[in-house]
Amino acid sequence: MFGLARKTVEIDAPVASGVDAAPPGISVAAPPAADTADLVSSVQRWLSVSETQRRTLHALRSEVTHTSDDVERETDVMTDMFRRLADNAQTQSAVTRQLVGLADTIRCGDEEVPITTVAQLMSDTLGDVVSRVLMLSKESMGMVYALDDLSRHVMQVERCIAHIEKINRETNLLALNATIEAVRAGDAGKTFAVVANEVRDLSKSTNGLATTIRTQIDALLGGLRRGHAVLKEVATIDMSEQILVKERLEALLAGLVERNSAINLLVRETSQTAECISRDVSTIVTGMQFQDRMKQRLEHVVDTMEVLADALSELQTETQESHPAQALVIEADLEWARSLIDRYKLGEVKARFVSRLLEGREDMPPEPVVEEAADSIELF
Amino acid sequence: MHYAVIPHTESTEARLAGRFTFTDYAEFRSLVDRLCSDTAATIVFDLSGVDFVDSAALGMLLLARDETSKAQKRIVLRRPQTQVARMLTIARFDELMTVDA
Repeated sequence: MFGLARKTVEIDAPVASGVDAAPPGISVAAPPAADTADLVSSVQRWLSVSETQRRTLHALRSEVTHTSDDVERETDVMTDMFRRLADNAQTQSAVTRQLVGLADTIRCGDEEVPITTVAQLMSDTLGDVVSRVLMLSKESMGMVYALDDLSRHVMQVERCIAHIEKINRETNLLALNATIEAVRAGDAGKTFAVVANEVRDLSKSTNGLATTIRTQIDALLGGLRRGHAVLKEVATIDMSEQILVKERLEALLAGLVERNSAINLLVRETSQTAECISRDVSTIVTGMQFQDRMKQRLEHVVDTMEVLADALSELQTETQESHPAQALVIEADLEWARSLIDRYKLGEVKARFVSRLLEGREDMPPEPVVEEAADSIELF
Repeated sequence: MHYAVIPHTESTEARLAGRFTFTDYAEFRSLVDRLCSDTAATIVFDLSGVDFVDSAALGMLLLARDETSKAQKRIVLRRPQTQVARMLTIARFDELMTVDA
């Protein structure tokens, strides 16, 4: 199949010199004995090289097959891991979507209340509180004004009473004077004396009344003063701080709502990232199918090497058997083989090649030696 | 708190200064009475000199508004400063009377 020209060279008997033995136009001189020895030596070397090549081809076949298997195995592992990665990303995405649900609302009893509603509710309530505080302030100040007015009226009454008492004192004095005049007038003044007495009695009871009124007024004034004191306590409770707090609380609520939006945004980004990861993983997995093509190509290479090896083997055997007198041997050139093996840095490769080239083994190499580990690291 | 009253053609202006709190109630009340007895249709309270109002002061302003509307006049609050301005905003005074910045 390689189109080898099968030429049998008659070298054990000298060819008769003469024109009649050779095809027309070609003169073949009988090769001298020294040339023959050279030729045999060359053929022997060729056989040797050929055997080395054959074994090398076998070793290379094994290497290539190993490599192909390794790549296939690792690719499978990687494909699995990437698929798992994509799955995890999806799970992550689902979890973060749940987070959104949580961040958006607050659970209250049976209800899921959106944060914006909560914020609005708080704002409205605060507004309510402020209104009530204002109303309280207004009403208590109104009470203070009213008490003030009342005090003034009561003072007025007190002044009236004082005036009454003054009038009373004067009336009493007058009655006393009248009684004295009546006694001086004797009998004619008796009636007058009676009237004067009655006036004094009236004056006395008026006085009593005035005193009672005065007592009541004092009590009233006392009550008013106490009421005023209480109102002052109430009205001076400065609610301005509480009113200002509304501002701060509303700012905090706004912050809460904004943070919510930020969280939502982040979650959406995370989802998108998960999608990207999935897409990238698909691309990677598709890309790793290069391994299929590579495997096929390497199989072709291996095949070709086998063919070459077989051809070499055939030719070797043929050559040897065609010239039994030359006692040709089929042996690998071990020197050359050793120099080839010395080029290999990876210990396990070295071991395999030693096995095949030097020992001529066709089977799997022996277990790699411990120094392997150091060599493997070298590779990286 | 102290005040000064400045009459204008269309309005009467009362310039307030200092801290406006509960203890000023008697003074403020008589001020409002005086302003209501004026002929001008608008009463302007210039608050630029007031550096603090408490909740009692807000209550008194609300009472003043009641008084002035009984006398058919309108109230304008002018140039409230930082703390005062915040209080008036949170208490939504702009919904009850004119507040000029």
